[in-house]
Parts: sequence; C-alpha cells; structure tokens
Amino acid sequence: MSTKASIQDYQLQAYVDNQLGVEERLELEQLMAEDSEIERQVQQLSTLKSQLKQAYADVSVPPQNLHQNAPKSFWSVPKSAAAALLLGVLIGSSFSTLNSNQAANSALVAQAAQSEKFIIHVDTDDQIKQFAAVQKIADLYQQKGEQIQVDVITNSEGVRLFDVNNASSEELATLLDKYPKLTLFACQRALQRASDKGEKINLIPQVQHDKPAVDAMAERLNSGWNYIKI
Amino acid sequence: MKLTSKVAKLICGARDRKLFDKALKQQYDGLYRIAYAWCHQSAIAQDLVQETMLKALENQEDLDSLQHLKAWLVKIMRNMFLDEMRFKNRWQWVEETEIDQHHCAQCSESELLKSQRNELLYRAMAQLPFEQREAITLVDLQGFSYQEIADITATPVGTVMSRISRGRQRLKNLLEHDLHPKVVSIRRI
Repeated sequence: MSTKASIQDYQLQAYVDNQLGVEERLELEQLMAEDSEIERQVQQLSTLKSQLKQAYADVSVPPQNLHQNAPKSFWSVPKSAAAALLLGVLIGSSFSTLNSNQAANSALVAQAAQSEKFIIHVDTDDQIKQFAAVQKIADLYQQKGEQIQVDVITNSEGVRLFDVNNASSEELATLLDKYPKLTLFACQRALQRASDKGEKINLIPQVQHDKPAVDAMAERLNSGWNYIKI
Repeated sequence: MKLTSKVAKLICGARDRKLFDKALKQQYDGLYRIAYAWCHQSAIAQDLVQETMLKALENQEDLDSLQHLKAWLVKIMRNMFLDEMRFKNRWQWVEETEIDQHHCAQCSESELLKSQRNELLYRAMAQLPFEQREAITLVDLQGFSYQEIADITATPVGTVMSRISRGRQRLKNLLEHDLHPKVVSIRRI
C-alpha cells in the first residue's frame, strides 16, 4: 500500500489521467483526504490537464476542403485514393446499384444529384437485353441531360453489342454523335478469346478495348460511379 | 471468378469504403487539433491531416477494425510528421516570435482573457521537446491510455509515463516563471 512518503509523482499523473486501477485509486483518494499537499498537487495537475484540453478545443478547425491549399503530395497519390477522398470524405461518397429491370427511374434521379456518372454493364449477346442497354443510354441522357458521363462496358458475349453489324449499331452511332460523354468499352480479354476461337468482331471505331472489363469497372466503381446491370 | 462475381465483390468493397470514409471524416477535427498541438502552424497542420487521410485511404486494408481507427490514424500522422522532420527536410524547427493565431476579434473581456490564457498554453507547449508534447497531446486532448500511447509511439509504457510527468512539470514551470517570448515552431523550407 502507498504511504504519504512513498507516493510517487507518476501515481498522481496516472490518477488525473484515469490510468489507475480501482484499488490504487481508492488508496490515493484516501491519502488525498489525509494530506492536503497531495490533494493540492492532484488539483494542480487536473487543472493543467483541463486547461490544455480546453485550449486546443478552442482551436478553430479549417473546413475539410482538399481542393484548396492541397499539398503537392496530394496529387502524387493514386488517382483512386484521391478520387475516393474527394468523393467520399469531402462531399460524401455515393454509390448505387440499379437494375434496369426495376422501376428505378425515381431512385436514379435522386442518385444523380450526387453522382452523374453511370456504368451500363452488358455481358450477353441476347438481342433484347442489348436493345434494352441502348434504350437505357437514351433514357439516361433524356432524363439527366447531355452533361452526364455514361460508359457502356461489355464483356463475354456482350462485346458483340459493339460489332458494326449488330442490330443496334446504327442507334449506337447516333447516340455517340449526339452525346460526346458517351463512351463504349469492350473487354480486351473477351475480344482476345473471340479472336482465338476464330470469331471475327468488327468493332465500331470509337470503342475502347485496351484493358480487361474488370479493370475498367474497378476504376469507375472505386470512383463512385453508379452501376447499372442489363 | 466470373465478372458478375467480381462486380459483386467490388460493390461490397465500395460499401465498406463508404463506411470507412464516414468514420474517417469524423476523425478530422481531432486529428487537426493534435497536428496543431504538435506544430502550432495551421497550414502545416492542415497538410499533415490531409496527407494522413490520403495515406489512410490508400492503406485502409491494413486497418483490422474501425474501433482502432483513431489510434491507427494518429500513428500514420506521427510517422509522417517525423519523416518530414527527420528525413525529408521539408520542415524544420525554427525559433519564431509568433505562432499561428486561431482567434478572431474577441468581443468581451472574459473571452480576451481566455484567448490570452490559451496563447500562453500554446507557447508553453511549443517549447516542450516533441516527445513530451506528443505524449501530453495524446493523453489530454484525445484521452488515449498510456498503453495506447506506448503502442502509437512504439515506446515502453514507463517511458510514456516519464514523458508525461516531465512534460507537465516543464509546462508548469513555464507557465509560472519562465515563459520565454520566443517559441520553437516549424516552418516549411
């Protein structure tokens, strides 16, 4: 048990920092009751602690705006992290998964206020679904206006949507002319597999195909794009 | 793995990220106050917190639980601060006659007195060796336990206790008798 003579400074510090066990705490409180000098020391430490806490609580915190006064190294981090920070930390990240088969238009309108970028994912050569995908592009631009970004990403059999001989190719070409922010993307691996099997796909010239679909998808999802699966 | 499965995984990841972003945002004020208490320069404190948050986003997979987020962030910020000071020479300690003020025009005598008292405390804190200032900041501003501070700073608990004790004694002396008009602060170089 501690005595008045043996009480150590670190015990007083630990008391004000609430780092003593119950037994030690009670012992020290007993000593404080018996010795006003110990009580005074504890009181001084406690006052200093609360003054410091209050002094730094009074520091005004600048807003979380990394756009302004951003350090140089801010731009040296991977874009995904920067984008996630800008979208997530600063303005609140938005991520939605919408199914075109659902009556999602009203939800879409609400989401669009936070994010104006949409992935339309097609992985089938089912003509009806491919028509639906093209219709979805037109619907989105009609509802949201020309400023939104829509990337149609295809993989597997879906890459045939971008064949110049596809039934939807004329309409796709019209949409590409009309909306500069519409981008078409075909999976590099799917094209390679088709080529390996001797299947010829003549892509619409504007189609990008420089990486696997999953990579293209990950880049966008990490940046808060809305995802629509057809 | 089929692409649809991969997309599903990405979507789950995005939801986790959303939670992480929200938790990260909640730590901003506390981190800024710690950073300010370490360097007493608002622009540098802001840089430090911003870079800490970016690093946290890059390495969020390393965090085992959001419960440990605060200590994890402080550890990142501390390492970054010391790296900048010791190795990259981006900042250096200098003597300054002024430290950044955070108070706008005061409108009452009591607020003015409070502001002056805070100013004295900032100046006294700025004169402590970094290790003492760091330990006091973590225990007083953020309420970390001695063990948590020991983990963050990779030092024994006894050393943490000693730093807190010596730091408070020095603060007390500075505030009572010995406050030098110049403070040790940091500047970009």
